[in-house]
Order: sequence, then C-alpha cells, then structure tokens
Amino acid sequence: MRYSFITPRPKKIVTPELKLVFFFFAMTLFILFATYGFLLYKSHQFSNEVTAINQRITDTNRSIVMMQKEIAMIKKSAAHFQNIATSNTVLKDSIKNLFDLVPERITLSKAVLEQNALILYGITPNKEVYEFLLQAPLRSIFHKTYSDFYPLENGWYRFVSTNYLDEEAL
Amino acid sequence: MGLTRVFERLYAKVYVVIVVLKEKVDVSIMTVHGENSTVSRVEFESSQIASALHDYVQEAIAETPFYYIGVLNNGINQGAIPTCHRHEASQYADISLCKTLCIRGSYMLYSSKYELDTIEKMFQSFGVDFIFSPFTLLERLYKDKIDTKAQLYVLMYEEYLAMAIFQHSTLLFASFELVDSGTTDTEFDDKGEEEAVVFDLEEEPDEDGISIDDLDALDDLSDLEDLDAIHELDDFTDETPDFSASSDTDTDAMEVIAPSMEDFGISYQHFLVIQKRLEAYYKDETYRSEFIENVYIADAHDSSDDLKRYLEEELFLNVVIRHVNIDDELLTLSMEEVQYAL
Repeated sequence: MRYSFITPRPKKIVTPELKLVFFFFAMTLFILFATYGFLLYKSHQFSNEVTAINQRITDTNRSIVMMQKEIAMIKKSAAHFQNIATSNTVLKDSIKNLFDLVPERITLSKAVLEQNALILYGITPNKEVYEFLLQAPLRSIFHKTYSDFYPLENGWYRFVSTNYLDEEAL
Repeated sequence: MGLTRVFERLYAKVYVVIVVLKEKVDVSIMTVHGENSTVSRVEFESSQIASALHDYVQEAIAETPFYYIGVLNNGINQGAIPTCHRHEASQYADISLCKTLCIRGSYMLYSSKYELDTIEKMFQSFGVDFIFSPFTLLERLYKDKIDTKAQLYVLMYEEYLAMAIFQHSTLLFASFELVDSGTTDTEFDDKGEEEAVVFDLEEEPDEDGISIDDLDALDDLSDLEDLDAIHELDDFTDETPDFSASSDTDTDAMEVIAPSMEDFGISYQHFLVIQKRLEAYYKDETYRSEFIENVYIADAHDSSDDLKRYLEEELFLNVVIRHVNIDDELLTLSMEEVQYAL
C-alpha cells in the first residue's frame, strides 16, 4: 500500500556522465567496427579480384597454349604450303623447261609427270629428229631413258618416251 | 525493466530515513546488499543540515543509484480524518491546500503542500523519495490492536505527539501536536479553545457566575490534587492555592502557579495535550464518540513513565507503553514502499 505523500523518483542507472562515457565508447567501437568492416569488405573485394585475375591468367595461359598449338599448326601448314609452292614452282619450271626442250617439229600429245619419272607421248616426223632434238636433252636430265616408236600411215612415228631419275642420285 | 532488475542485484540498496526534530536531525542509513545489511545512525544539529548531514548522506548514496530517502513529516498542518471523500473532509479539516492520501479506503491522511514542499526543498541536494506521516507509523505499530474496540494510540517522539483513536481498524479521531514545554498554552489555540479554560489562567471568571463547562473544568482542576508530583515539588510552597477553591481564587494567585507547570517536564505537557484532545474528541459531535478505556503509547525516547502515571491517576485510563525505534520502523516502511513502487 502506498503510505508516502510523494512517489519515489525513478532510479536511473545511467548518469549523464556515464552516458557521455558510453557515447564515446560507442563511437569508438562504431569506428573500430566500421573500419574493420571496411577492411573486411576491401579484403573480400581484393580476394575476389585476385581470384578473377587468377582465373583470367589461367584462361590466358590456356589460350596461349592453344594459340601456340595453332601457331605450330599454322607454321607446319605454312611450311607444307611452302613446300608445295616450291614443288609447284619447280614443277612449273620443269614443265616449262620440258616444253622448251620439245622442238617445233615434234608434237606432244600427252605428258605424264611422276615423282621420279617423265612419260611423253607424241608424234615425230622421223626417229632422227626425235633422237637428236629431244632424246639428247632428256638423256642429260634423266638417268634412264627408254623410247618406243610406232609408225603411222603417213610415215611419221608415234613415240612413247619414258625417263627415270635414280632415287639414289636425288 | 529486466535490465534494471539485474542492476538492482548488482548494486547495493541504500535506505536513508531522516527525522527532523526541533533541535536535531536523526539520520539512519541501511545498506542492503543481497542478504547482508548494515545500519548506521547519526544525530546532527539542526544547523548542520546543509553541511555535515548533506555530506554524510551523499557519502552513503554515492556508491549506488538505488538509494531511497525517506523523511518523517513533522509539519504541524497535518492530520488524519475518518473519511476518504474530499467532500466530507471539510467538516473535519480544511484540506484545500493539502495533499491527501487515502489509506485502505478507510481514512485520509493530509498534509500541507507548503510543508511537504519545504521538506523537499530542505533536502533538495540529494532529493526525497518518501514523506511518511507519523499516523502511518502509528497504525503499523499497532496494526494487531486497532481491529478491536475503540482505543487511543499515541506515538511520542521528542516534542511531537501523534494520537489516533481506532475502532475495528476504522479511524475515529486523530491529532498531531507539537508540544513545546515553554509555550504550552499556545498549543491550545485551535478548535478546542473553548475547553482550554482549565489552563487559560488569564481568562476572567464569568460575571454572571459559573457555567456548566466551567464546572467541568473545575473538576479537572480538582483532579490535579491527586498528582503526587505536585505535592512533592519544592516549588509548590505554602503559597500554592487550594485548587478545590479555585473558583474563589484571584488571577494573581494563579499566575504564581503557571510558570511552575513547566517544571513538570515534557511528560506533563504530553498529558495535558492528550487530555485536551480527548476532551475535544468527546465533545465534538463531528466525530463518532466512543468511550476510551485503554491507551497504547509508542514512546520513542523513554520519557513516558510519568505520563503513564498521569493518565492512569487523572484520566483512569489503562496505559500500555511500548518503546519503539522510529528509525527502524521508517526503514522497514521505506523498504516496503520501494517494493510497492516498483
């Protein structure tokens, strides 16, 4: 039962001085935790960036390997194409030289170029023309030369000239 | 709220009770921490309220925020009336400028707002949490007896005297008095003034003769002859007039007696006040009058042996005296009030 003419004052545990101390402590803690949080966020961000960079490095390395492989393939292809071009050039020159070898009086009907052989089909007015004007240069180029003649009705000869290069000499 | 409970367990509770008397101030401090409690008491001179008392209390309450300051209200403009309704209170006392407190829906304590403010300002340096009425103490001291027939209960501490009549836990009458041994007659200037003729030695006798009231008063004076103390006192010489013939005594003779009343001591002053208030109670039709046979006196300063004799021999009352420690009662009351307030 209430027996007092006045009511007791509320008892405050926290005095104004204590409030001030708590405020400064709270501010200090807030700043500490804010700094800690900021550093934590930045660290996490840097960690993510490092992971991303590492991933990019891995991807780049993988790309480099693939590109090196491609480069090797391209180089290989280029060399192959170079060889082909060279071969073609040689072949072209050979064909040109071959056709340059053929005198006007002999007519070629077919020419077969193989790796180590050249087979010529044509018509010659006579065997001497063939032997002096065509067979002689062919002999200087190929190691083995064989000629076969087939007489035609008009007195000319169809010939087949087979020429070989020795593989050992190459 | 829960946090406050936790802190209450951590901190000690300090209960301070202050009883302001005429020339000194009693301060009791109880420190309660868990199951342990210590009590210290110090008396200060009235002039030390602003300095030594302040420092003493501040030192006691500095360690904890849970301190409670209780003050016993000694304002003379206080009392108790047997109703809790303000519209009925005006027939007992003017409480327009008073703060009131209804107790158990049975009776009302009142005290002057000005005096309560004065108490709060007196101790404003550390504040006041409780202001208790002496009637509250009186009821608590005799809570096991007030539920019986009409009996008078008196609380005496130094020059203060609180008296109340309870019947079946219902207040019938109450009065609070400041008994000043040097100015006793000035205390009888209120509503019972018409009965004060017994001690109003300056009043001239009625020219027309003696009224019925005066005869009653004369009876009271004749009772004084039975006081052994009066016969034993050296001051009462042969010049002492015959009280039985007081109606024929002139004023000069009575003036010789009047100063000697101070020599009876504070107990006699208390007796006079009690007698006066009982007369007022019996004669005032405002109060429900019941015959009083027993008086229970709670005496805080062991000064009631003579008073008991006066009451028994003069008013034929059965007197039971109990020595009490007001400070302890106030501390207990403060602790209970704190529990109630929380």
